[in-house]
Amino acid sequence: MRKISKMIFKIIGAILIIAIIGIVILLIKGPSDPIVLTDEEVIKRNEQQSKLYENVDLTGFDTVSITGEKVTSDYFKDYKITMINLWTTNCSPCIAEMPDIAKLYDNRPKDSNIISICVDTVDDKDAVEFATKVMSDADAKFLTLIPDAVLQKALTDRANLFPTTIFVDSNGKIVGQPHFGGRTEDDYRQAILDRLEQVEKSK
Amino acid sequence: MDKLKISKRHIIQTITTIITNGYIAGFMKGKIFAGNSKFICVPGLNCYSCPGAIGSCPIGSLQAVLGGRKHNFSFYVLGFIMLFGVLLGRFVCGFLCPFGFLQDLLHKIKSPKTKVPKKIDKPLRYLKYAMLLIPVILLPIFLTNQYGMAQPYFCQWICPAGTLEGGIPLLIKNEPLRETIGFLFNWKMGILVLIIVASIFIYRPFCKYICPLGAFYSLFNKFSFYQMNVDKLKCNGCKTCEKQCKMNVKITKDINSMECIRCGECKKACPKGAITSGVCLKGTVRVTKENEHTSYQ
Repeated sequence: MRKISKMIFKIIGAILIIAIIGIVILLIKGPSDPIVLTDEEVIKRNEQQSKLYENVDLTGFDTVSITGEKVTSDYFKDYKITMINLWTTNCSPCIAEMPDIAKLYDNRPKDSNIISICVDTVDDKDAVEFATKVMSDADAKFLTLIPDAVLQKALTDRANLFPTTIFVDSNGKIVGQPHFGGRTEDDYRQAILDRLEQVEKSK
Repeated sequence: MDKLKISKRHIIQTITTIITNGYIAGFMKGKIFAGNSKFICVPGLNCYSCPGAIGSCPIGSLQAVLGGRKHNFSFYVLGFIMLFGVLLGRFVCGFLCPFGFLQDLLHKIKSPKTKVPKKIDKPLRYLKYAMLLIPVILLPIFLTNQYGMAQPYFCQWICPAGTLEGGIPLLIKNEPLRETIGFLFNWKMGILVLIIVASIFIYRPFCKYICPLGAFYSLFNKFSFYQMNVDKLKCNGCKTCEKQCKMNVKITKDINSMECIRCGECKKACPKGAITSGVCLKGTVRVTKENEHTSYQ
């Protein structure tokens, strides 16, 4: 009787340990490693989160920036790649990387553009004020949008990690994988350059 | 008759873990659940960022509000944990905390068990109060950016429950997130692996030495509604309870000590049935020198 329950706990415990050690090996060795776990906690090479952004269609939005300018989906037409940085007013890493993005905007690659969307400024004057302050403190000259219903449904409702940065082409279609987490100016510049290349190749 | 003997406590712990992490769809999607039930704090240490979590972690919520832009102090979160503390004290640790449950299970793995020498054990027990005071309370209040916002330092640098319940499931499902793995993740993973391995040899090392939530609830043990009691009339001083107690509580002297997680093992072990526990709403008859030889109905 007691032996059976002890056995079960032993088995559960052993499986947990093996699973966790396996995950440690897999994750620390990096995403390009071909090791696949076949344990209870099966790790699928599943890109669901990026798939979440695959069918993003940014056409048809019509909204304002935090400074009151009207912006529609025609905004992407003139640039081969537009970097869209999604952030919220509660996110310290987002605010911390803003000066870097501002510097990047002043020295951005040709044919590229940068805008940001502050996701929680919808119907929140206080958030708009704070977002404006953050942008001016960071010396950011690019637009920061308040998402409208179209943008919310198409893009910002999917985001649950911030900062999320996506890159779209002149038709508003996503190019490449989204970036999560704060990055440096050089990281973002490289990301834009990579995607400019990608867009060129696909012509 | 072959009966599978799983203690009632483990059943309650299993049910609690399943309920507090019940949003299975979250694990499939690799997304943090953001429904309305997230406004409620669960009593145990269960990461908000676990894709299956339907409620919030009280320690995480406390840091988020203290380090947030809008508020200076969280009466709401504090109210929640004070309610749990006053009702249950560290009964939460023994019955309602998923991370405590994990350590219980790990300890069941057959291995030689290490006894931490008293010289290290006693002072190290105070570390959890330092964890409560410094990374959970003081740092989010004072170590802020230019807008008064701060990171949740305990969640960020120490909490292994967050790595296990939030970090790992989200990384499994989010390939771009894996590219952000750097020093911080390796550090937290190291802490998690250390605690998991230590839990096999030492009973509940995280609960004893590190958990700020346990530290908070321990402040309520002496006067919570749920109390443990030793009937001094029945106790014969055999100290079987103290030998059984894996939290090293001096049961005959101070059963409602701050280190007691109210697991009830002493109750089961006592040959005289002298130990009782429960929610005492009327005054407990405390055996004192005056009434030592009086019998009560």
